[in-house]
Amino acid sequence: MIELRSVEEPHALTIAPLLARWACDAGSPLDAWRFGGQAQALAALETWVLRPSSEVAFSRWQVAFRGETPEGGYAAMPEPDLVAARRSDLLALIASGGDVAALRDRLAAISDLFLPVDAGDLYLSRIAVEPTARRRGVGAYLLSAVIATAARSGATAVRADVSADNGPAIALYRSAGFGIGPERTSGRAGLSYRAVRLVIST
Amino acid sequence: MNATEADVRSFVLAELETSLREAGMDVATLSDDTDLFAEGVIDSLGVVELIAVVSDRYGIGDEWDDYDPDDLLVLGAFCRYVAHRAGTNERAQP
Repeated sequence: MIELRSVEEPHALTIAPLLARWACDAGSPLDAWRFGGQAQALAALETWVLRPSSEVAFSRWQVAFRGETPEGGYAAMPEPDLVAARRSDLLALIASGGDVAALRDRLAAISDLFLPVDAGDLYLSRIAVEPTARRRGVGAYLLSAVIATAARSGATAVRADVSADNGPAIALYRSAGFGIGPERTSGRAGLSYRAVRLVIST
Repeated sequence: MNATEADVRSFVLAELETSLREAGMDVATLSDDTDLFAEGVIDSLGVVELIAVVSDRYGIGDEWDDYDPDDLLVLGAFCRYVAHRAGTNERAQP
């Protein structure tokens, strides 16, 4: 029996390392590129999950528990919140004390990688399942919860971006009825992503 | 270095001259509340570039962590912040 719970403030500190690891896994390989390395990405995301305005803030997560064991989770938000969150994260990236010129080069390499998110869409920013809990339907459970939330909130569609080499995730989106967009590639960053989108039928 | 908000504003608008023209925005119509990011004058890459040149020009290091993300990139708030930081920074400029 899986139960979905939001993360309440008193538990944020306890669960932050787990959420950061999920955010880092689900954000791979993009985050390693953005932050200039996998270790840097994980360290930054550990602080980002505790910053309420971040795209990966704990308050945006829904966590699937089996008993008291967290098995996976997702972070999603409506499009206007995403725009504000990315603005906040961009500033955090600039203020993190790294080399601004290097950051500019890394961001330039991925500036055409992602399509804009339509107004009215619910954006699924991260979805992750614990390695020990995989192949038991947790991902499908989480995705159906996202879709139900989108339908309840009157969103036009659920939108996500998925790494083109993440076969299991693409299969999951396809089986849930998502349209899988063409591959978009940044040669310099060595990244390929696909936009996936499911229109909510009313 | 000491800089007034007006100094910073002139510098920023000069830096963004091409972007503003391409976005079809007239400098005369810009107010303190104009959000250049939201208006699409600059994208996230443009923000990083602008912050890089402005930081360099006014000797601001990595002190942007107390800047309100909602003010990115609201013209008046941005120029005020830079002028304030420039005034409190001891690093000499050539």
